[in-house]
Formats: sequence, C-alpha cells, structure tokens
Amino acid sequence: MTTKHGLITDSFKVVKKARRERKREKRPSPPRQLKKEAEAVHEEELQKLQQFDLDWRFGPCTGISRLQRWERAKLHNLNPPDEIKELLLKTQSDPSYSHSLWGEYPL
Amino acid sequence: MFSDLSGQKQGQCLLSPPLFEDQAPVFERTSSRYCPRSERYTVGERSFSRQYAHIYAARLMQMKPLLSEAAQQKWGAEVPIKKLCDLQAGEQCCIVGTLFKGMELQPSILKEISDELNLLPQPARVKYISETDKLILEDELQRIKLEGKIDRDKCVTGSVIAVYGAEKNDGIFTVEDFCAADFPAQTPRPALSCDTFVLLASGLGLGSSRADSMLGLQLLVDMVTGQLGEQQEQNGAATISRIILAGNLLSQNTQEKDAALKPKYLTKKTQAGSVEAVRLLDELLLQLVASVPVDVMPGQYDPTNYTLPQQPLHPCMFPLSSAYPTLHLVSNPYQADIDGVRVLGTSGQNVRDIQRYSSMDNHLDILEETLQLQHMAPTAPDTLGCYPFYQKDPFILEECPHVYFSGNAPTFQSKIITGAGGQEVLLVTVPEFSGTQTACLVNLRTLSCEPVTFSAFCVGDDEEGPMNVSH
Amino acid sequence: MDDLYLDNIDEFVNDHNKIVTYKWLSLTLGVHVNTAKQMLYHYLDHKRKESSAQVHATYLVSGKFVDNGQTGHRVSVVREDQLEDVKSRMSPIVSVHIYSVQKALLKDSGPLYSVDYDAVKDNLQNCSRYGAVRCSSAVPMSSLELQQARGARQALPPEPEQKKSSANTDTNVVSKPPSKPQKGIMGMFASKAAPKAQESSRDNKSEQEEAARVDPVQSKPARKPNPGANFFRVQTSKKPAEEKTSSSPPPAEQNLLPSKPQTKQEAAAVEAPKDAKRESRSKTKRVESDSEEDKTEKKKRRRIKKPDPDSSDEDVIPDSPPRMETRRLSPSPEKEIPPVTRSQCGNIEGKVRKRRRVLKSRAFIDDEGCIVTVKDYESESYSETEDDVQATRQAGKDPVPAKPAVSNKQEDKKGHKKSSANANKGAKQASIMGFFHKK
Repeated sequence: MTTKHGLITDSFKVVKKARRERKREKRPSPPRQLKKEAEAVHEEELQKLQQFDLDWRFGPCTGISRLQRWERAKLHNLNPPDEIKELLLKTQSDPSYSHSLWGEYPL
Repeated sequence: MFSDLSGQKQGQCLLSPPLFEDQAPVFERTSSRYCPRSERYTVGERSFSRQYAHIYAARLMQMKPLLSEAAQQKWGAEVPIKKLCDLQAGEQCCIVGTLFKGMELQPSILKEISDELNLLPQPARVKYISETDKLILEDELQRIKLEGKIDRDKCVTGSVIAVYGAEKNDGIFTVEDFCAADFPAQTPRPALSCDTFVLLASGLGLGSSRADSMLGLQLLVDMVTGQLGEQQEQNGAATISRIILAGNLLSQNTQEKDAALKPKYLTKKTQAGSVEAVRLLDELLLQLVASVPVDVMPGQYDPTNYTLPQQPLHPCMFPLSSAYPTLHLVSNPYQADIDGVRVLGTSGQNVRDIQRYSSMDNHLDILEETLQLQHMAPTAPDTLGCYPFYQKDPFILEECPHVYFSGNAPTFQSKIITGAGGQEVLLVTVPEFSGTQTACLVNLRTLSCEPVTFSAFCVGDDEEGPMNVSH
Repeated sequence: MDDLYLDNIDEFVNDHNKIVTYKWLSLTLGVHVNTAKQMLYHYLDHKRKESSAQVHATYLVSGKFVDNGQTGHRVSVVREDQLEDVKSRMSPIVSVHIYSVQKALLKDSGPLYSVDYDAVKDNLQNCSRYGAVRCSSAVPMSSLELQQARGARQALPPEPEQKKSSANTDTNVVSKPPSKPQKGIMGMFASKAAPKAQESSRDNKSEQEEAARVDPVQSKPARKPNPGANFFRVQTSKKPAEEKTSSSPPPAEQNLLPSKPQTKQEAAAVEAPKDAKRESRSKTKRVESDSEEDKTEKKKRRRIKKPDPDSSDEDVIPDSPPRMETRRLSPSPEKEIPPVTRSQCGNIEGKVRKRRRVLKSRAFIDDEGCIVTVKDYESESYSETEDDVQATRQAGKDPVPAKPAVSNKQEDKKGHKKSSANANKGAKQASIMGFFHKK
C-alpha cells in the first residue's frame, strides 16, 4: 500500500513541476533559455527510452534495467537501436534513465 | 563390450596358491583430455526479483529463427510465417510460438487456497494429463487455441514449435502439421585410438533405510578401483577414465520433511539424517577419487539448491575426498568434453517432469524428444523449478552432444540416434543405482553403452539375482 | 614367507570367527589384492584337503550376462553352492575368485559389506593401495594447494558466494541452501566432531581448560582463516605423521596407539620452551577451580552427550583436513598430558594474534530448570600475553567462561554466535537462546 501512495504523489509532483516550468518560460532570459533546452532534451530522451520500453519485440521490461533489456535484444539479433545504448551509457547513474517505464512498480 | 575387452585373455590364475615371485599387476589408469563445459549452468549473481516472463521471452527470441528455418525446410521456403496479430481467418500459414497446455489437473497453489474452505484436497497423481487439457500457442503478443493434427497429450508447456494450418472462424487454429527445432548442429567426434570408458551412475541413495544395497555399491567401487576380479578385469577397469555420478547421491529419506513440522525441542539433539549420509558419501568418494576422476552432480535430493540449474555441492561437505584434485563437484545439468566427446546430462528432473505432464512414459523417448525440441527442460519454469534467467535460456541445446544422458531412470536404456544433419548421439537413461544395482559404461571410442550390474545373495534367494529387483 | 599366512588365516577364521574377505586380508597383511585372493584359495584348498573343520566360501564371478535381451557386464558375489549355476549363465566368464572365507554359511551378503567397510575405514587414506589400478593424477593436494584451489574456486564464480546472502535477504525467495551455507554445513560437521572432543577430555574439570586443551588437536584443521600459520603448523607435524602412514597401518597394528601421543609430546616439547613455568601455573589454576567446578559438574554431566566409543576412529574433521591430521586424532591420548598441551598451546602461539576455533561449553539453566551444557565451536581471535593468562585464570572461576577466555579481541562472526555470547550475560535470555540453539 505504502508504495502505491508514494507513486501517486510522485507522479503528481512531476506534473506540477512541469507546469511551473512552463510558467517560467514566459519570462525569457538567457540562463532560463539554456535550462529550458536541457529540459527539452531530457524530455526528448525520455520519450525515446519510453518508446524503446514499449517495443514488444524486445521482450518484457519489468524487473530488469533498460540496458539489460537492450543487451538481451542485441544478443538475440533483434537490432535494438544503437542510440538507445549510447544514451543509456551516458546517463547510467540517473535512475529515470536506467530503469524502464514500470521500473518503480513492485513485482 | 567391456566384458569382451577385459575377458580377452582367459586365465584363472586366482584359483591357485600365490606365487610370491611374480610381481602383482598394477595398471595405470587411462587418462583422458577433460574440459568442463558447464559455464552456462553456473548462476552468477542471484536475483530472484524477476518474473519468469523473461525466460519465455528469451526462449522464443532465441528459438524463433531456428524454427522459422525448420518450417521453411519442411513446408517450403515460401511458407508464410505470420505473427498471431497479423493472422487472417482462413489463411493458410505458419506460426511460431511457445506451447502452453492448460491442464485441469495441474497442481496449483491458487486452487489450493480457493479450495481451502470446503472442497477436497488435490489428489497426488503420477500423471496430470486429462481429457480436458487445452493446447494454446503463444507468440510475443497473443495466444490462440490449437486443434487438429497435433498430439495434445504428448506436448508439454514451454516447448517452442512451429504450426502450420489456418484459423477458423471460431478463433481456433486448426493445425495441419507442426514441427520442432530438431537436433542442433554437432561438432564431429574425434576418432579415438583405444577404448576408453566413462562410467555413469546415479541414484546411489545413501542414507536410505535399506542398507542391504550397500554391498552392490561397494562392489562398484571395488571394480572401478581395480580390486576385484582377475587381472584382465582389472586391466579393463583401468580403461575407465572417468566416473559421472548423476545426482541423488543421497536418498529421499534423508530429506526428513517432517522435521520441519516437529517442535524444535523434540529435534534438538537429533542430527539431520543427511549428515551421516554425506559422511558415508565422503568415504565412498574418497575411495573413488584416489583412483579415478569423479564428477559429482547434485540431484533432486542432494543438499544444494533445488531449482535448476543446481549448483555444485559445496566441498566442505567432503573433508576427506575434496583433498584430491580428481574430485569434481559439478552442476546439474552438466556438460563436458571428455577426449573430445561432448557429454551432456542431467540428474533426471527434467525428464521426470515431462513424464508427469505428458503421455510419454519412457525416459529414453522423452530424452529424444527434448533433443528434438532442442530444449532440455521445456517445462521449466512452469512445473519444474528454475532460476529466473532473463538474458538467455541456458537449457536450449545450442550444440548437439555426443552422449546425452539423464539420471535416476527406472531402468537402463540406451540407443544411438542419428539426426537429419548427420548428428550421431548416444542417448542413455542412467538407472537409479539403489534400486537396480546397475551402472553403465560408455565407450567413448565407439559410443556403445552397456549396463554393469552388481549382485549378491540374500535370504530366501534361491536364484541368484540382483538385489531389490522387485523394488 | 611360505605358508605362514595359512595359519594366520586359520586364526582369523576359526579362532576369531571372522569373515575374511580378500580385501580385508589384503589390507591386514599388506599384500596385493590378487595375492590375497590366491591366499584365500590356497587356504580353502588346504582346509578342504584336511577336511577337518568346515569352512564356507563365497565367490566373486563376473562376466557377460544376458538379461531380458540386454547384454551387460555383471559382477556377482555368490555362495559356493550357487557358483556353478551362476557360472553357467555367464559367457564369457571374465573373473572367478574367492571373495571371502568364513566358518558359518552366510545367509545374506550383508555382513560382507560390514567387514569390508570396517577394513576400508581403518585405511581410508590408502584404501586403493593394494588395488591393481594406479591413477597418477589422483594425488591428494597439500593443504597449501588445497587452499589455492579453494581460492581459485572461490574466485572463478565470485558472485554466488558473495551475493548469495544479500540476494536472499532483500528478496525473500526460496533457495534455502545458499542462505548461510558454509556456516550451516560446517556447523553440522563441527557438531559431529564435538562429541569426540568431549570424549578425549572426559575428565576435565573446567570448561575453559577443555577448550584450550582440545584446541591444538581438534581445531587445527578448521583453522583456515589463517593460511600461513596453518601451513607452518602442518609442516612441523608432517614428518612424524607421514612416517606413521607409510609404515602400513593394517588394523592389527592399529592398537599401538601410544606412539601417537608420544610424538605429539615431542613436538610439543620442541615448540614450547617455557613449558615448565606454564605448567605450574596451570596446575595452581586447576586447584583453584576444581572445588567450585566440582559442585556443578555432576549435575551437568547428565546432559552432556556421551559419544559412542567406536566412532572415535572415524573422525570426520570439519572442513577438509590434510591427511596427517586425521591420523593424529587418536582416541584418547590427551588424558595423560592435559596440562602440557594446554600450556604449550598458549606459548607457541605466543605474541602472534591469530584466529582459532575452540570448543566451548556453556552451561546454563534453561526454563525447565534443567542445567544444560551446550558444546559449540566458536571462532575467536586471540593473542596470548601475560594479561590474557590472568584473564584465563579468572575464567576458570567465572561461571561465564566464554567471554573472558576469548580475551580482548573476541569477534563474533555470525549472528547466532553473538547471541549466544550475549546470552551468557543475562541468565534469562541465555536459556531461551540456548534452548532454540539446535545442537
């Protein structure tokens, strides 16, 4: 039960943050601009990874990291996109990158 | 034949007084090149946090190309191989997927819980097949019910096959034909210059209540170590270059399931039955390893992990014999190259499980079937305990062995089969020693296999015969 | 040589009423198995000609045998009256020889196994010595090689050993064997050895003393954590031990046990120069402690598990000993020399800090009001200095011996050990922990 609670609040927070971010966009300033770009890149990368998660050809993704899933797909010659691996290697330490869309759900 | 080989020179010099001038014979044990190939069965980091979906996914990923190829070979290169999601009703095509057999009688913990209230307990059975079983084929995304020309009872859950047929309007796929992956490729067997034997034995069953079978075991040890018999026999024994003990070294009786139910104060001073049995095993192994390399595989009742692949027994259990470099504690399944001959085998859990969940009864047939399916243990993880692998399924037979055995069978059987690609495989079901007093000798040069039976006499035994044969 | 052995066999068979198998004879007389078979034949032949007392024989027949259409090799042990029948069914016959000779007609082949088993057990380390097959690769590893091999083994698949426990704790999943494997399994064998240790020191008065005394002999093989020291100790004791093994110890000679304590004492003398001083100390200590210990001793006795005497020569030593150490564990040599061994142990290991496994016994009153003595191996790190000796002396009086005897550096490796140590402090807890502590 407790984990579920945590998840709900988590997602709530994320949404809020995003909105706040959008409000700030209205006052353009150079550092903000940079931050916004970084944010956009981040968003885009996550999108890509989520697309990877959703590709059924590479098998289930619960319980294993994205990189493990990528390696498995590679092992079985399923041609997983190389950019995904590069991205994953680059951002290894960040759990929002390394774990799949459902990584936080308990089994 | 071992007997022929060792009986070449007839002469019964042991039935005469000793002549001290002639030197007592000592033969050097034939040594063989040995290379363990069991890496794939060692489990490194152990995480049990994964679901079994991965093992099925990995299995299908790995086997799909093989089956597509097999299908094209069988039904022509133009045969349409479809995914279930693209399937059109009435269209003749081929589908590759994992079989699932819905079985009414399969023991289920959920059923047990739901039935807890007022229904009967699930009866213990030898076989779990029934008339109501349904065959279902699953690919990555969907599943479909199968009917038609496919032997429902023979199939087992978890096998990856290709079916050919069409979907009818009622959403059931009518199978016209099906095929399995067939034997994997085999590396050619080197030609050996002399006869070298490997002795296979399983189910020693130490620590059982029946102590009378111990003489047979001791005779086995004495034969291998060159104690008994005439010179020729001892000479023959020296050509046994290796022993493989295929599991169940300890008897089921050492498990003492009831000990867990008893209150602790009752069992405080009692020792687990397996302690004495392991000590006995250590002494037995010591006699063997002082004379011949021995590979010890764990089995269902041995003190290691229960799930396949079973990891090697820990050497600290064998303080005496583990001092010898000839003692090899290995995994189950076990694979090795002995003189270039690839030997692969299990302690029999996989075969026994298939026997339970299919109409097949003969261990040798089941063994052949697993080779056809190119998978040693299709029923894992469904009904056979198995580690949750995710990268690849180690039970897929990537290379065809030359000797393929399974332990703890009710009887000794063996045959040489030849695959479509010219693969030559010796199949052996190694009988349970405690019940049959039989081990088997595999000639690595010719791949012939013969049983070796030990017998003694007991009370009321007019006819000499193997002990406990009635068992 | 001649026919002396005929008298020997006759004595075994008729006077001792023994079942004489070829294997037993071979190990007893130290002759090749084939010679032993011939000796038995000669003896039987001789007896039959004499036709005096009746002797029975069993034969071993082996050969090709067809059973249910399946051809195989068969090895049978048969009574004399079945011999021809069995022979007629084998073709070709590979071997026929006498398996055993005995006075009574055997109804059942079971006793044959027991005889051989006892013989083999007495000669475990060189049981295939008189066999006809040699294996050049089957040479027992020295303790150093063994450690290296173990190390390699551990290094090869490193994860299983290390991650086992963690994987299990954070994911409460099945796999019971790995959960605490080494400790658990070794513990089993340790407890197996424990009763024997008790026997050898049956007349001891203080538990702490017992621990120390048992230590040099019993716990040596188990002292793996200190490879270097272990190796050197083994080296020092190797020569006498090897002499013993090589001078063929058939059971007949096994009775000459006294030689073993002697060699040990010699070794002790070499190792411990300060013996005399130490001895006097320990003696005074004993006097002090005796009075108190005596009172409780009788009551405690009740629950101490008495080992059965004949199991003493089949010592299973915890954790793969090099062979000579097996030999050293002679049944009860310690009795004559307890103070010496004790002090010498303290002395040689002098200033060096090391780990050792010690048999500790803890006595406490459990919740039924019974006094329970639990014997257990504990691993301890210690460095023997003069202070420690003081501590140990006090320990003799202390009802809680485990703690001080261990000196200042006690380290508990496992949880349950910790709890048992703690348990000794509070009486109530002690009883509960001890109660569930499965022995």
